[in-house]
This record gives sequence, C-alpha cells and structure tokens, in this order.
Amino acid sequence: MGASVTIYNVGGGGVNLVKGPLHLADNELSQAQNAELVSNQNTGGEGVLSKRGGLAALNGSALAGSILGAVGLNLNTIYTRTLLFAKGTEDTTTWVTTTDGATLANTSTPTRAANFDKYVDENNARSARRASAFRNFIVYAGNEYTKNTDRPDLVLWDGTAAQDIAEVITGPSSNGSVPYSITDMLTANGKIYFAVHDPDGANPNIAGRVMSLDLETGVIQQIAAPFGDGTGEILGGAPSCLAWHLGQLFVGLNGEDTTNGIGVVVRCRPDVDTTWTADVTNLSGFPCSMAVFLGNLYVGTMSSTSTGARIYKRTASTSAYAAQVTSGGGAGGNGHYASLTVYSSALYAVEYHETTPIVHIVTSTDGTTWTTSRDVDANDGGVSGLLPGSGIEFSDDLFYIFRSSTASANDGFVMRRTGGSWSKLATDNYSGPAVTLVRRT
Amino acid sequence: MPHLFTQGGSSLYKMNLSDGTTETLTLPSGVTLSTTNKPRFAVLNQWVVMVNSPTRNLVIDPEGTVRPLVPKAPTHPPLAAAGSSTGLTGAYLYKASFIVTNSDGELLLESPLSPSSISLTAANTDISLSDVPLSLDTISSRRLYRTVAFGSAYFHLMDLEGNIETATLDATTDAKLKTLPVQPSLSSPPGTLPGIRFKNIIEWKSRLWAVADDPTLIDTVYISDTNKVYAWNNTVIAYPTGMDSQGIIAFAKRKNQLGLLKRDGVWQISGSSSSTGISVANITVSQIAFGKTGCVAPDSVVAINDRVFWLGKDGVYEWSGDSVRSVTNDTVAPWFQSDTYFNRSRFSSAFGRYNELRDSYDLHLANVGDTTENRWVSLSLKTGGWYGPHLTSAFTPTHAGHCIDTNGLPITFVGGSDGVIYTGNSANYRDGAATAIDFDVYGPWHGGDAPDIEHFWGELSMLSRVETAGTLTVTPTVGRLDSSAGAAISHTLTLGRERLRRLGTGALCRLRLRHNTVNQGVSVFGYEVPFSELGRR
Repeated sequence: MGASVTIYNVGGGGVNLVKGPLHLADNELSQAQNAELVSNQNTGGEGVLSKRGGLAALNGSALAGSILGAVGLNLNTIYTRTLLFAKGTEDTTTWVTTTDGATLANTSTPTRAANFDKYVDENNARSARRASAFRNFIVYAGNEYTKNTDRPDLVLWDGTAAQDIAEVITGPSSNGSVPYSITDMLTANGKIYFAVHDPDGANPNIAGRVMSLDLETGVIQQIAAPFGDGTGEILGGAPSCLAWHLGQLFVGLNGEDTTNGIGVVVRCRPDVDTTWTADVTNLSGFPCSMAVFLGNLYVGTMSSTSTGARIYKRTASTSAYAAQVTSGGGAGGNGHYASLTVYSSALYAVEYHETTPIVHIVTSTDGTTWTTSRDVDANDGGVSGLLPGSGIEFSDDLFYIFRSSTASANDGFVMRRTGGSWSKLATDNYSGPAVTLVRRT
Repeated sequence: MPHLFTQGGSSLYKMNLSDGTTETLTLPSGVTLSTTNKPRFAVLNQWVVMVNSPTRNLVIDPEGTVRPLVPKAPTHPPLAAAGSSTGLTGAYLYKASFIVTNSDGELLLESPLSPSSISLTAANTDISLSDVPLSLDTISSRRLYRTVAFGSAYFHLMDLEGNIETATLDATTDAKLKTLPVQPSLSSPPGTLPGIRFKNIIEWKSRLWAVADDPTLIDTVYISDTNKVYAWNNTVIAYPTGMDSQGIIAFAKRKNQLGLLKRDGVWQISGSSSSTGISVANITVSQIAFGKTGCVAPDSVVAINDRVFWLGKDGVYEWSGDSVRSVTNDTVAPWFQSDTYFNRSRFSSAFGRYNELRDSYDLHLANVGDTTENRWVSLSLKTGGWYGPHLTSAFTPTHAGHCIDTNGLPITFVGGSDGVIYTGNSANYRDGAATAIDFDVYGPWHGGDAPDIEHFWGELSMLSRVETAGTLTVTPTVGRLDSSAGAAISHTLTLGRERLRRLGTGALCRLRLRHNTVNQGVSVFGYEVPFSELGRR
C-alpha cells in the first residue's frame, strides 16, 4: 500500500529529547543546531526551518580582553561642547564658535550678546559681564533692547533657537527708569544668578540688584535687598561680579569711583536671607572678578587713586581679606585684575593697566605667589583699550578674550593656552563674553 | 545616541553603537576591575551603576565619567572651637560629608556623614572649624552640617569647596539654618570600601536593589532611595537566612513584583507604588516557589515583558502570572538533567539573552567536556519550541545581552573572548568576518505508523526557499535506530523544489539536513518521501 511522508512544518515543534525516538511528531527534531524559525516569509516563515542569522562584529577593534559584561544605555550619551565667543557689531555675525578650540566659525543664529553701548551708562565699569551655561543651553544678556528705553533681556540659546526668555523689570532701587544692563551671570546652586545695574544712586552708592532665574519655573526673583543709596538699600555700589562660596552668594560691588579703600563684597544665603551681609568694605579698589580657588575666595580689584589693582584672598578660616599681589602698574590707569579663572590646578587672571601699559595673563598655583604666564602686550599685541573679557576653560585648554577697542572694530583677540603654551588664536570683533554650550545627542 | 558600556578584560569601555568605536573610561583612583567576577549593571535616573567586578561599586554618568557609587565617609568630624568674633550662643554639634556636584551646582553624590563633633558651647562667639576632613575620593566639596543651639538634628550649614582647605568660620544663626535641608540619612552599603561588594543589582520602581557577597548578608537586599544612586537607607531580608552558601543569586524584575532568586526557591517583593516610586514601608517579601524552581546562574535571568526566565538546577524556569514552571521538562530535559550535552558543573556560569527579533530566550552553556560557554540553546517564546544546541566557530562567547541600536531598534548581542561584541540576526549568514554557520538538523524517525514493518522509501522531494547558490546536504538513515547513515544527497538550493533519489529499504527513515557554507542561508519548507510497506520480517 503506498503512502507518503509529507512534512511542511519542519522543526515547528522544536527539539524533543524526552520522547522515545519512535514517538517524535513529524514536526519535532532531535537536534536543531544553528536552526531557527523566522516569522518572516521573506527570510523563512513560520513552519519553515531556517539557518540562524549571523553574528556580525560590532566593534572593529577588539577590546583588551574577554567581554565580561555590558549594558546598553538608551540615552543621549554624546556630549558635544561648543565654545562661543560673543562678537560686536562689525557685521551680521553674532558669535564665533569652535568645537575643537582651534577652528573658528562665524555664526549669526544666536542673537547678539549685550554690546558696548549697553554699558555706557555704567561708565564702562569693569563688571565681569559673563554669560552662563546651564544644562544643555546657555543664557546671556541680550542686545536687542534700546538702552534707557527698554528692559534688558535674557536670551537662551540651545544650539538651535535663540529665545528671549525674560526681561529685567524696573527695580525698586532705580529712579523708575529701566535697568541699564546685566553686569554678570553665574550658574550655582542649581540656578542662574545675575547682577543688574539700575539707574539712580550717587557714586559710589549706585543702584542695582542681584536676581535669580529658575529655569524650571521661569521665575525671576530678587535676591535679598537692592543696592543703592535709598532707604533699606545696600551701600557700596552696584553688583558687578558674582561667586558662590561656602553655601552663600558673594557679590562684588562697583561704585564707579576711584576712592581708595572702599571696595565692597557682600554675601547672603539666597533662599534665606532678606538682606546682604557686608563681608568686606575696605578693599583698595572695587571688585571686578571673583573665583573660588583651593577653598578660598579670591577677588580681583580695580586700581584706586592711590593703589594699584590687587588680587585679594579671603581666607575661609578667618573670613579675613588679604592682598596677595598688587599690580606694578600702580594707581589709576583703569588698572584691574580681570577674569579670575581656575584652570589646571592654578588660578589665572588678566592684569591690565592702560597707561603703562600692562596686559599680562598672570597665574598662581597657591594663590600667594603670582607670576606672569603671558606678557600679552609684549608678545601678542595687547594694548590699552583692548580690555580683558572672559576667561574660560574648554577642551583642556584655557582661553582669554580681549575685547575690541570699539563695538565695530575687529582688533579684539583670543589667547589660547594649550599644551602649556600661549598663542593668539584669532583676531576679530570680540565683545568679551565666552561660554560653553553642551549639547547631548 | 545609545551606547554600550562594557567591560573587556580589566578595562571599562563606552562603545558607540552606530560605528563600534570605543572609548576607554578612566576608573577612579585605586579601583580595579576583576576578570573573574563578572560585572553587573543597573540603570537609574540616567546613571549606570556597576558592581561585582569593580573593587568598589561604581557609577557612570551618560558621558562616561566614572565615580565611586558612594564616596567614602569622613572618618572624623570638624574640630570646633570658639572664635574671636561674635554670633552664636549655645551648644553646637557638627558633622561633615563629601559631596560631588555638577557644573550647575546640583548634588550628584554624597557620602555618609562623619561622626559628630564634640559639643561646643559658644557664648556669643563665632565658631572656628578646623580639621575639616579631606576625602581620598575625587569630590567637589565638603558639606558641613550643624545643629541649632542645644539641638540634636543636623541642618545643612555650608559647602567648603574643593578638597584642600580644612578650616572655616561659622557665625550662621539658627534662624538661617532652619529653612535649609535637614541632614540626609546616608549609609555606606557593601562595596563602598574594598573587601565585600555588591554581587548583583537591578533597578525596579525607580530604586536600586542589590545584594552583597558578604556571607552573613547574602539574604539581605539593600534598597536605594528613589532616584538616588548614592543613598542606601533600607534593607529587606528573604527569610529564612543562611540556608546555603549563595543566598540570593539574582533578581527577577516584573511589572509589579521583584523576584529574589535563591538556589532553592523564589521570593517576591511586592508593594504599592506611585508616580514617585514604591514605598519601602509598604512592601512585603514572601516565598512563592520552593525547591528546584530556584536559580543557579545569576546571568541566566532574562526578563521579557512580564515574564522572567532563568536556569535552575534541572532546567529552565519561567515565572509569569502567579506561577513558576519548568519550560524544559516536557521537551529538552536531558539537556539539563544528563551529562550528555552540557557541562553541568558550569551551570553557574551560564548566561542568557533575549533575541527580540526572533522572540526567543537564548541560554549560553558549556558543551560537555568544555570549560567555556561555547554552546547556546534557544526557546521560541512564540511556539514554546527549543532549538539548538547552537555553536559558532568564530569565537568563544563570554557574555550576552540585548539593547537598542542608534535607531531605537532592538538588537541582541554576544561578547566574545576575543574582545569583540557581535550582534545577532545578520542576514549575511556568517559569524564574524568569514566563518560559516554550521546548520545541522536531525529530523524525526519516520515509520509510517508501523515501525515494525519494513518499508520501501521512495524518491525524496525537497522544497526549500530559492537561494542564489548553494547545496543542502541531506543524509538519510534507513533501517533501524542503530543503522548507519546512507550516502549523502545534495539538494540544490537554487531550484526551490528538487526530486532526489530513492532512499532505500528499511523499517525506519530519517533525514539529517546540513549546510555549512559561509554567506549562504537555508530555509527548508518541507519534504516528501513516498513509501510502501514491504512486510514484516
């Protein structure tokens, strides 16, 4: 009698080693080495026994040893950092960018940062004028307002779109007029703090405020009391530089005055205090830069009528300020130590004096002994009028900006320290701020 | 872009899944990776936690910065003494911790707190703090805590930046402390110091759950705070304790239960949870399975949707619904219950993975007589059928897993002793650069429902997917179970259907299908063999 074995579900039942050899179903197997069912009729299909797919090498270069474990992280794990230098008004480009610290490119997509004219009513005081980076965006003082008419604005740039996120309202310490400018910004304590110079007040007790910007809620809040010479206001000047130290916000004040010995630093706990505590009131000149180094606060000051610019150290254990170095440029001359920046276990600053002139990048590894790291006026064309802008670490290198002589001039330049050596990276229309944008993809 | 963090030898790497490029990550000072303890990973709040192979528990941020999971605690408090200025009146106590913050000033990690300082009674003086502890780890700041006057609860006082300065002044009035965060509850879990360590870890309900290799703690589960990788304030115990040398082998993660797998049973943690995670106060631990349902291989555990699979002493078990059941007893029990197929003494080193595209649970085992996991078997979750044992001649598998690629699509991967990670399901039908995949299948014995009767087995028809090239070797065995294989038949895979020679005379017949040519696939639709009975002999 004729019959036929007809099997069109080969291996559909998989391997069975439990049953006796004569009891397997037609779709069962006793071995299925490198075989599988693929639910895709283009490459097999259910009921079709196929060779398994291959194992393709993912990494071209073998790792150093057996793969012992791995975990996939389903997140944006590529961090792309872009260093941005703010430009003046020479042309339509607004910022210069670099991702490697060496190759520069102009861009006009982010809106312009606050430019020189925004600080005219500030008497061009030596405020720090920094921009701020927070998470995956930067925030900076914008330029799209008419000084003395409109409110200064804060701009957010996330690498794609520039957005005005807030305007600084008229403060209680002003004479009812809109603020002049945003003089410094700082990311700390999970927030952005920024300093505002308001109209009103007589030198040195000019008006201003410190505000916080909570970027999760969008709320701008004044920190403690305003500055000025009115009732309840803090004397000593408008805020010009910020630092976070010992859980408190330290603020250097600038009174647009050259009287000796009236430099003021105040401090407060932003979420607790309703007023500022004077931390020091007799620095030789007004503060224009601050940084925390080796657990202590350092303050760079302007020159006064009788004393050259200085760098002071506030010792945490005593709260006492002591001058660590005094500029050889002497009194006057718009001398100041600008842009205190921690880099590679050392503290850097720019020593500037316009009449000597002195344009030096100075450094110290202990905060006490200061040496010239780069004689910019001797080697790089540093001259009076090209004021120091921001200092910033990027990609293991240190950068210092020297502002253009005017808003539209292209004589500003960038100094770069890489591999232990300084060089001039570029000359262009730089207005001062530098900030690093971090993007995750 | 998704990445793979992987340990190769004694180094840690971040691998770009789009091009396979790798970056060697820098380990914290003094930390090394074992090549005998396999690393175990968990992901919480964008951070990867790595335990078991490092000498200290580690945490890796998305960019690849590696830090100790918990900084070592300060060994001593700050020394407090009355200062020379004014400000404070009353008795005060201080503590310190070490913290790591990000560039925005947000807290990332914090160590447990130091012991308390000796009470200092100030009489309208400020307080001079000296000998503020220094950390041996890389930290951002020392965080100082203080009581209010005559109080016992600690409040955040200030952060002393860096890891150099050891003195500061305190004149902060009590009123300014009260709105600040109170002292956190922090502890040093196993693995904070070298010696004992976490041997396994998992994320469940926005917390980390871990078990240590300390022989006295192997039944204790350590639990992190919600979304905090550094805060380990709770434990639960899977009773009875001390029943064997291993305690909790592994975790089994399901939607609403966390399984604790011992060698002799399964416990589950369950409890109510909300959008902010699960409350430790509301969890329960109960044993849900006894005896041989336990797990012997921590790396064999794979959770697939709300089902979990693992290797037990005598087979593979599935935990789904309310039950734990064997998925091998009815089909492939001899793989796991005899010494014919695998080296059972290496079951503890077995490792599993999920092949999402094939919807299969793949379990890597050591071939009998071998000491590496050079074979694997696959359970089709769609049909329940087992396939294998599979092998590759390209490399020796040492680890396996699954993740998603740069397009968010699932991939299964196998790591090799050659330091290469291989992704599965390649349509190129080769392993590595040029190694053929040895497709070797033994079909059932056919007896025409009359295995005692001699048959004439006629011309074989093979139907297969049309390939561009290649031949499938069909080797019939005709006769009895102990008969030798007959002459091989070559089926041309370009034809789709081919009528081949007569198979011969014998009571039984079966086919062996084999194809071992690189870069060629095989799909067998079916076969037919006409037969007729010849009679009984």
